[in-house]
Amino acid sequence: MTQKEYNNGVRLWADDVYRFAVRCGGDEELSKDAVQEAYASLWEKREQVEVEKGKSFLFTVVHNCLMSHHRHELVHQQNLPLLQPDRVVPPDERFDLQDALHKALERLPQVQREAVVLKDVEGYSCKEISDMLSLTEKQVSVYLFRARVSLKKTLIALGYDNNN
Amino acid sequence: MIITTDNYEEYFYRYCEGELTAEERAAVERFAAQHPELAEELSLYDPALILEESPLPYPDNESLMHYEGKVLPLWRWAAAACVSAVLIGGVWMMWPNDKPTEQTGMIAQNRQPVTAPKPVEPMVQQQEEVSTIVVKTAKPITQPTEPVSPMPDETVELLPQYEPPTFDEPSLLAEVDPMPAPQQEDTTVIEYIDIMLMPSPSAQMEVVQIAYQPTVRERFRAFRSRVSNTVRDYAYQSYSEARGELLTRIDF
Repeated sequence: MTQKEYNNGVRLWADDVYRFAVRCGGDEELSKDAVQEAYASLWEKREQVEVEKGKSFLFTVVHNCLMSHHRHELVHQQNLPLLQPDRVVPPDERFDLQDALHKALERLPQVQREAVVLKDVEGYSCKEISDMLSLTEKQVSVYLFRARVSLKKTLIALGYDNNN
Repeated sequence: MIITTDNYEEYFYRYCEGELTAEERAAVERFAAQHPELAEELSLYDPALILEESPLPYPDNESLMHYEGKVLPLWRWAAAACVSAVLIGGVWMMWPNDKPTEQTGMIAQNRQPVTAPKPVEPMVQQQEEVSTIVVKTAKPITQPTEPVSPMPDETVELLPQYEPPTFDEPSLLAEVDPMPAPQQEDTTVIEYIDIMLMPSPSAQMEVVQIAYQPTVRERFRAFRSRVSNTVRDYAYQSYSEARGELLTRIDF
């Protein structure tokens, strides 16, 4: 990767990588630090990293940063109880579906959240996600299945039934 | 293939995403029938529930850039060009027009002496006086007593020629991916089916997200959730057979 390709990578990928860090990390300052660290690492290893692998390399570094920072929170997130609705939300008061999905996404464990964002938003395959997150394809499939089931359960708890 | 309570989630995921053969699907359905508590998870999985994101710009791209040697960022070149243009324009504006030369002295000799202007009078009388003044002051054109020397070249080129700065990386913008083609506002059942017959869900969603408006994406998701089972029944046939069969069976 040349300097020109690196700078192009900043223009093309920085926003997506930052969005991934914010959605999966939650903290804007932490996300900025993760993005800076990712690009610093990419600059140091620019001669070994091909342009086609640049974006996935950045996601991998951000994933490692977030994992090391939130490692102590993983156990807590996995034990979050399912939302119990205190009332049935009428249709005119419900959030937009995507807003509800984002609320539900925040309740997922870190790895499941990252897998969903990489699959749905960035469009990576299970094989590519497994390379970035240092998982097997089977593990990625399992995490995605659990994540979607959890998202559905949360949406139902928020008042979104199967017909909406 | 043996499905157990340890590996059922992987098969359930691949079943819902349409990645299993007919035989594997039948095995999953048998397993679900034998484990109703796990079959509930299968019913909760919704492949049409796709997360969408709006753009979130990184606040300071410039801090991530790297420049080596004499290469400067494009904006600095632009700023330098603007400052240069302002300075040169200011010098041009302030440069005196009547620069003293030999010709000026010659022109001064031929000038008429300045006389005091006449007092202003009512309009009618003034018009007559103006015409009178014009008639009275008009003089026949006479040949100059001495030939007028041509303007020296030095008086024309008062400022150094401006040379805009050359950019080290003029094609930076050209290397950025071009703007995507306008998204389609609507589509047909045939196009939906074509997308559904693509090999992987990620490829399907990539096409949908790139080619169609968000309203069409929602319709596609609704379409997919309705017909995914039907498509799976024919997906392993040849493309033309599957397409022809689905067109006769699906009404959307």
